Amino acid sequence: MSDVAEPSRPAAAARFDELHDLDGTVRPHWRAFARTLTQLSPEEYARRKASARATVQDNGVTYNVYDDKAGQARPWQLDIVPFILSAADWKAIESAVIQRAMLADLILRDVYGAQNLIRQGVLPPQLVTGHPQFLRPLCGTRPAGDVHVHLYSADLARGPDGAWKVMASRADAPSGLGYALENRLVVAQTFPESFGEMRVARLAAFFNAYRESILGLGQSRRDRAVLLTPGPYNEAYFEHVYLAHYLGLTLVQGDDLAVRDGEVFLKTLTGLEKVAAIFRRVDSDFCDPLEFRGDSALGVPGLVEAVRSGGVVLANALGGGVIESPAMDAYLPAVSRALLGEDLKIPDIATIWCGTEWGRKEALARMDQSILRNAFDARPLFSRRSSARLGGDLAGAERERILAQLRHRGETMVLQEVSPLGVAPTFEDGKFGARPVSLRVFAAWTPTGWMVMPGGLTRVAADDTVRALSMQSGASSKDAWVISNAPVDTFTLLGAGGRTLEIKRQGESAPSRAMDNLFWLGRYAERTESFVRILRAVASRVSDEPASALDVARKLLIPFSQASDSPIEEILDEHELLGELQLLLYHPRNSRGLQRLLGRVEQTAWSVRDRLSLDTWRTIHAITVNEQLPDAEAPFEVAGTRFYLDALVRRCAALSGLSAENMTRGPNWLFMDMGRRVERAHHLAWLVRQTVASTDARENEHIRILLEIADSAMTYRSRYLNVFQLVPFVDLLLLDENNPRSCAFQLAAIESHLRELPRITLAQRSDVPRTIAAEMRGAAANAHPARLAFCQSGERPGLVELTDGIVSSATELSDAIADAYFQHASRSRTGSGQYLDGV
Amino acid sequence: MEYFVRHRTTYRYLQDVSHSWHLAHLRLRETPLQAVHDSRITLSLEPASRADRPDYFANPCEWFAIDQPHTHLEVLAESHVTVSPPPERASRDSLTWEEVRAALENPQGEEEREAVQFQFDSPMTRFESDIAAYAEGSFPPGRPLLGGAMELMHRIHRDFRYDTTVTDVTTPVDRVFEIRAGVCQDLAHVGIAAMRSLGLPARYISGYLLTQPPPGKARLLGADASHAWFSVWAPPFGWVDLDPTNDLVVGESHVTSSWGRDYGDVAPVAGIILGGHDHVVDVGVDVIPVDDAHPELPHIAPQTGPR
Repeated sequence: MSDVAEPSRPAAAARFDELHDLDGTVRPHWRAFARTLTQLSPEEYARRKASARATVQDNGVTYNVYDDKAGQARPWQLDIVPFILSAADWKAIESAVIQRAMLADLILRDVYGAQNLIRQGVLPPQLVTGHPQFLRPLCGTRPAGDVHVHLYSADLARGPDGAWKVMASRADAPSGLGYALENRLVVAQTFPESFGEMRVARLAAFFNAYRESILGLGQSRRDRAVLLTPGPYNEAYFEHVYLAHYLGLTLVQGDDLAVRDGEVFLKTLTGLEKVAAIFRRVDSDFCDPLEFRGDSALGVPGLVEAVRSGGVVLANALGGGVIESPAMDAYLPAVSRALLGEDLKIPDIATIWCGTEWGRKEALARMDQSILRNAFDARPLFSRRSSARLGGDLAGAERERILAQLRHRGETMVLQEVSPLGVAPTFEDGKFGARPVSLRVFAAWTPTGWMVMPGGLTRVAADDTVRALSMQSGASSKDAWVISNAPVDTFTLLGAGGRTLEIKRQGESAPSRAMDNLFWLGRYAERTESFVRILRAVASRVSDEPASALDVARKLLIPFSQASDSPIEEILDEHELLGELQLLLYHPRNSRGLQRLLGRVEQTAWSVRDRLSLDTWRTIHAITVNEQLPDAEAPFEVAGTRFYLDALVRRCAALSGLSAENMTRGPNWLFMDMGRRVERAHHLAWLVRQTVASTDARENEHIRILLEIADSAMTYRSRYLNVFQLVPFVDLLLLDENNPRSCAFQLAAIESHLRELPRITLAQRSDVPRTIAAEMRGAAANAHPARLAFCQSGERPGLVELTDGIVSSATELSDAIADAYFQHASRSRTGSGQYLDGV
Repeated sequence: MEYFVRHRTTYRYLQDVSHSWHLAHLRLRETPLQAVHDSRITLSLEPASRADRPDYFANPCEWFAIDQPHTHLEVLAESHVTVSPPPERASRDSLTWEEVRAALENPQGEEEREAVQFQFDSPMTRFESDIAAYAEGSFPPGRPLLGGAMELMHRIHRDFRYDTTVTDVTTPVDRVFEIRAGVCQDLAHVGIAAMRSLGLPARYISGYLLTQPPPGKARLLGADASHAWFSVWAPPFGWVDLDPTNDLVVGESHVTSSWGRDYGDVAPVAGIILGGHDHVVDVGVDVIPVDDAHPELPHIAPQTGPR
């Protein structure tokens, strides 16, 4: 393989090289793929890379970083060159990971049960009862089928000698499965030839076994299975959406669930529905604010009690964090011998617990070449808030503090060996590079034994240091290809699975919270379009008709901003108007600006990502994505702004078109469309009220501009040519039920939607929304255009009464819908009062 | 001493609470020095479900959920106990603090294994400030643990102001340490954090004090409400309770309800409510000695309410 370029790799044996052996020869299982890579033209390679990147972005694959200033979600980083594992390597990994998954499950069964490991002196009690994730309320409780761990993950890396070591294990709520799956779909598409020829093992059978095993533990397969996510702010929210969809689960947050009489229910539009299994992605200690962390807003009060009474399967069972601590690594070999009578097939990185005299002595002797960290800190090494410190870096006061801690509280610390991670190939500019990697491997419990996903999530360090492997600190990822000797299993989860499906005209009943969010998505999307259209009306006049632009800005933009935290006080002249426009359009954070509104659209859409089609999501993404926007302080530039606003108007139209044409007329559509209608009715009435409620010399101009903003100019011209008068204008914008841009049209649609709802919700809800809607529609129907236009000492009392009525009723209606359908009870904690004396 | 204890907690909500879930540590536990003759909880509303089981620390614990809309809930706990005086314990006879630490490194018996968990930080006693330096003042090398702990209690009593206006149930121990003031719960947390900063076990005790002092004696701080103190593990005596608020080794005047790692493990009534908007809590505690002056046992309300 002399055509494979010489990599810039470290001195021999300093790191294990996945691609080359010690002689620099490409390893056999890499040859086929290396050849493919080097034979692709640079243009073709660049094209494939770009297309993979575009797929990742279009699908909205993100990894949220909580304190990222650039925004809440950032694109998932994927290196298209897979990490390739030979069949022999994989066999060793597979059996080692099964061994460890079994151990994790057995240890948890013991520590929450008989505690024989402690009694027999195998495990120091400190590692269990000193662990912050040892959740005492669970002691003595047996999970369904006695299964504690349904999904286990281990992070593997190779030492310089090529031997695998385990860097970390997860048994509470392992993450990464969804990202691994997405990586696979993208990379398999990127290299379709190699993927087929190389007999890469498929993943679908694993996911099927994972799902079916958990459902099998539930009391009834007819009941609902849900995936519990911490919500859109969680770093791995994308994966929760993705997995829920792939596994056919309802995506829920803690608030969506309720415990009644020892059973768990989903709050839906049609009432409470029993939940049989919860695929849990919320950390255990956040799952029940009553029995665990009281400050958690993510959990379900009473969940632990439901587990005790056996009313629900939690996968994983609660409390798995105990085995994730680095301190546990120091005792795993002994536990393995005690429980399985075997040595560990793949050891952990060398770990010394400092809770013994011997441990502290060793730690002092070795600390300069090692890592010191909290004994129970399971965060990835050097991720944010990780307690890990390189002993050699410690100096001064920090060194003193750590030494004192070692002296007084050695039981809270561990020392771990650092060795350079093995490197896997990257491919840039026709040349191979090498970056340190670790591989997260997943094992699922099944009734007939553990099953390992043939592949995994490969993480690529951002640079050469050991600090760089955390996804939060900017690392990238790869797909992992396991080369199979046997023909690959082409089972797919997306098929019918041999069952005959019954015809359904409706999806499963929807969680109320999701409907709330869809209603607001409709409102925010419509608000965006309205705001963009006003901005465009002003921006397109600033150069040719500056006086008119200033007039519209004062009449519309200033009052529009009053609802925000930073209302506009005044726009003195045309110069100020340009600055204001620039701010409204491009300021990333100002609460009266467009970008903040777009942020709300994105956030709301993100929280119902599982209910939007990929095309809808992509359209919303196109509206809200921050392209290279000009600086909010930069001078206003007409042409660029026109272009930007035109594009936004088109994308908004694409979104409303998509929802009108592509969404099934179920609750999702109904609530989203109702949100849109309520917002539009409100906005139209407001526009008319702001501009023509009193007489004005510029009235004709106002009518023209309003027709433009309300996208009704064509209709008006077709009826009345170029004669602009108030009566026909008011009729078209407020009263004409045939104009989809009129107030009356919205009110009719709202009434009809509200009539539809009982059919969907099956339950009689409050009549208030229907009463309000009927009154609104009645007011519009009874209004006469000429009476509205009637003018008395410069004012139009009829117009004011009607438009003010619609504006305030729309707000009332929105609240009434929320009260009737979304059940907005806020949750709070009550203490029993302070311990104090009345003196 | 024989006592009758009544602890009434009343919640009033501004708006309807549609559902609520509660966990109560209100009944009294048996201890080597405390015999519980009767201890029961009465609720003003019929709970939708209720479970009564000891918690991890073997404290009596009550779990209940209420499903009917309500704006008012009363939880009444009534108990009848006898507290015996503790045995004489000469502090110089306890193991040195270093010996205690060493014993816990390789714990042999059940009691030692149990004690280990109280060496570790718990959610409400986690600290960043240099509490270890404060604690070290009372623990020079070779000092018997009980002597050191008693001195620590004296110092907390002296250095920290009893003040009911500066903290609440969620105040972290670092804050208390900084302002050197708080109520009994805060002072107990400081004692616990100080012991643990040296790797020594300490636990939190929730309980009561005699409401009316015996004739001629001063009224103790912390009566009329729940009280709290801390306990240290001082072999060969086992656990010894210390009350830093009143600067005394706990004796017959203290009634024990529950113990745990900190307040969070044994809050008298914790709750999660749906709705309610805002709430006020009223707590009333009576601790009445049953002695020559009160020969009659006060009438315990008959159980008309649901149990």
